[in-house]
Amino acid sequence: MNSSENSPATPPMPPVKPRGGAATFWPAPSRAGWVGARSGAAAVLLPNHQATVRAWQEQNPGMTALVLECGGYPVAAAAAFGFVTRKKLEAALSPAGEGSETASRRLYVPVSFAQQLHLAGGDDLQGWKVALVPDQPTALRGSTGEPAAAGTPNMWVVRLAAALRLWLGQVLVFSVPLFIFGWQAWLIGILALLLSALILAVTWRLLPGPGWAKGLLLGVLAGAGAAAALWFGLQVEPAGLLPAAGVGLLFAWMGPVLAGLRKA
Amino acid sequence: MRQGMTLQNQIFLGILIALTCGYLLRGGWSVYASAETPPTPSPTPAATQALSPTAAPVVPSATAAAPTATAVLTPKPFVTLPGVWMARVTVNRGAAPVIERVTALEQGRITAASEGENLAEVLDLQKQVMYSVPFKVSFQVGEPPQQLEAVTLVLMLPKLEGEKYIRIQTAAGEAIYELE
Repeated sequence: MNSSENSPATPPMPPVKPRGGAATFWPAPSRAGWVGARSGAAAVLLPNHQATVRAWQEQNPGMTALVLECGGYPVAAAAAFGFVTRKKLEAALSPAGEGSETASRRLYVPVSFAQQLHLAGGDDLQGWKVALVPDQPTALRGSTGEPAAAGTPNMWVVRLAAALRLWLGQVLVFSVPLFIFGWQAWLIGILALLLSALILAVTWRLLPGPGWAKGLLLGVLAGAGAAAALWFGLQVEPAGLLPAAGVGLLFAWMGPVLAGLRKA
Repeated sequence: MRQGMTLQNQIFLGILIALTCGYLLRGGWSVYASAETPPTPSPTPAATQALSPTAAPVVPSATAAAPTATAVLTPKPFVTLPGVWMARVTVNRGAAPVIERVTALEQGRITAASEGENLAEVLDLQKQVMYSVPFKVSFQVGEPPQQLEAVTLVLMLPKLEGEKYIRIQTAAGEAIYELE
């Protein structure tokens, strides 16, 4: 993340404008960094999800938010995919941690983020006192900042739901180009994308590396499996192994897709 | 580190990947399908009618004209098939033909002849005609013309599923060869 975005000298970001229907099938990222007035003694931690940031801006005017780059996912999904890290948060907080007046500042952290970051209410983080809030911190005004009563959603379910949503978006993109090559290519392609999305959603926290590396690993495994099935099962000639490369590529593609989007 | 692509880049890259994958998937599919499809004797409908297994076998005679079906034949000059039989045949002027040798080839070119008083056929176990193609033989060669008693030819016939025999029919008789 660009540290200049987090600098106290940076002017407040303008309100996020609503986005179109693309947000239904794709992540909807907003700019990361500090949002709102910087003079308050409290700030809320948000993912760079447009709808979340916009709702927070509308309902908590005048408050400060620290928007972390999380691929454009909402709070629960960003936490489920592990996009918010302690290192990222500390790097974002560090410019604002200078000066003695920061010692009494309070950082409102959504419970899913707190669980992911191993934070508890009352913890001190670079001069910020952590307070837990629900995952939808849209009505923060009046909150005591005490540990939230709301529980965290099941991370597997959140990842599967996000993966299915993004798969539908990819179906919109892939359908016409694949259908040019026949309904068989369309069917195999769509099913390969679905299977890849589901496998990646389940194994996301187990596979190493960033999203593209997880996809690459899965793509290599899927391509090799498909090649073995064609070679030993159907005993095709070497030219008949081309679909295995296609399947591998489709499986690999869902890795960077699930890794989210960044603001243009 | 900023993660992910922009939406525009992802859609553009997605379309490129979809086109690549579609090409790869269809390429492999067509290779597989071509390996599974039995060879077609001739690509044109008219030729298929004349050469298909359902076409009635035409028995040549010394006075008969060429088979009626061949009159409407407009075949391509040839078709290349993945598997063919190469039959070496001696056609005798006054005796039945002799099939001397039949060799299986991995690939071969079938010429869809349009007319001829003789027939080369592929038969199934019940000796039903699966494929039939007419061919001509001339016993006159040279100048001045010299009459030959026998002419040796090489005929190419397609490999078909369920085939059992190759039969050569001429005006003077017929010969049957059992395929291994």
